Amino acid sequence: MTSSINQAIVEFLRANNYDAVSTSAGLAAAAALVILLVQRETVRAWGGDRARRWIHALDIAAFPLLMSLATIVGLRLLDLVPPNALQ
Amino acid sequence: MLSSRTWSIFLIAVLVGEFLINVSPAATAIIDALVVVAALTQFGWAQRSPLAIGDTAGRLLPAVALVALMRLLSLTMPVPSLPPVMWIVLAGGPLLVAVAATARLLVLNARDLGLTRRPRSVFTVSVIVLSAPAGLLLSAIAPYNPIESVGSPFFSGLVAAAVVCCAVIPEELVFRGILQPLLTARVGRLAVIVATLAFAATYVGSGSVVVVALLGFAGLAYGVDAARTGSLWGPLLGHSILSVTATVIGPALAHTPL
Repeated sequence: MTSSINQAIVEFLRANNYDAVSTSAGLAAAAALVILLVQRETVRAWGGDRARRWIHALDIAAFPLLMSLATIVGLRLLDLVPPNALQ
Repeated sequence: MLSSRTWSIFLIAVLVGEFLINVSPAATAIIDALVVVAALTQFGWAQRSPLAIGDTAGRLLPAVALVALMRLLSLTMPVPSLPPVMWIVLAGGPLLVAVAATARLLVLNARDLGLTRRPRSVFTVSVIVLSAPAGLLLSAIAPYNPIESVGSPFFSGLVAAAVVCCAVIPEELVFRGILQPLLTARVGRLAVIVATLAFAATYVGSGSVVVVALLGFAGLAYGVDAARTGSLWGPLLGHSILSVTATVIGPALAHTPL
C-alpha cells in the first residue's frame, strides 16, 4: 500500500484510455511545465544571486515535469506507429 | 511581500485535491499543478527581499509544492501497459530528484534531514516492531491493493525493493524529512499533526476510511518519533516494514495453503 499509486489512480487509468488521461491530468502537468520554463528563462535574463535562487526553486518541479511530458509525448507518438511496424 | 499564511492556503488546496481524487482525479491534477506553479513562483518572488532567506513561512512553500508534485507525478507518469509496480518506479524516481533539488535549495544537509543521527530509544524500537502487525492488518483490511503481488521470491524481492526505494523513501523524506521540520520552525509542536494530516490525506485515494485511519495513526507515530529523536531512520525502517508487509508478505501468507 503506497500513497503514490492507490485505488483511485488505478481506476482512473484503467477506466479511461491513455488519450483521455494525457489530455486531462497530462495537460495540467504540461501547462505547469510551460509556465515554469517561461518563468525560468525570464528570471535568468535578470541575472544575479536572487535570480539564481529563484531558478533553483523552479527546477524542483521543472525536471520531474519534463520527464512526465516526455513519457506522455513518447506514448502518444508510439500510438501513431502502426502495430505492424513494430513487428 | 510574502504573506505568512500563504503556505497554509496552498497546503489546504493540496488536501482538498486529495479528497477530490476519488471523484475526479483530473481535478486533483489541475489543483496540484496550480499549487506547484503558484508556490514556487511565490517563493521565487520573495527572493527579492533580503529577509527571504531566513523566512520560515517562505521556506515552507517549496515543501508544500513537493507534496503537490508527488500527486501530479503519480497521476501522469504511470504507463497503462506496464504493471502497477512499475508505475511506482516511474513516479518515485523523478520525485526523489525533486526532493534532492528542494534540499539543495533550502540548504538542508543529511543532518537536517535526520539521516546522520541513530535513534536509540524504546519508542523507536516499538514503532519499528509494531509496523509489521500494522502491515499485516493493512493487508487484510485494504479493499484493494494495486501493487499486491504474489509471485516467485525473486519477483517479490523486486517489488519490495521498488516499494521501499521509490515510495517509502521519497514519502518519508517529503513528510518527515522536509515538511515536518520546516513546519516545526513555523507552528511548533503542531507540526507533527499538520504533517500527519497531509500524509494521511494522500491515502484518501485508497477508498477506505479504515486504511486512512490506520496509516494516519502510523504516520503520527513516525512523526512523533522523528520529532523526539531528530532521526529519520526509525520512520524509514518502520514505514518500509509496514509497506513491504502489506504489499508482499501479507498477500504471500494469505495465499499459502495451510
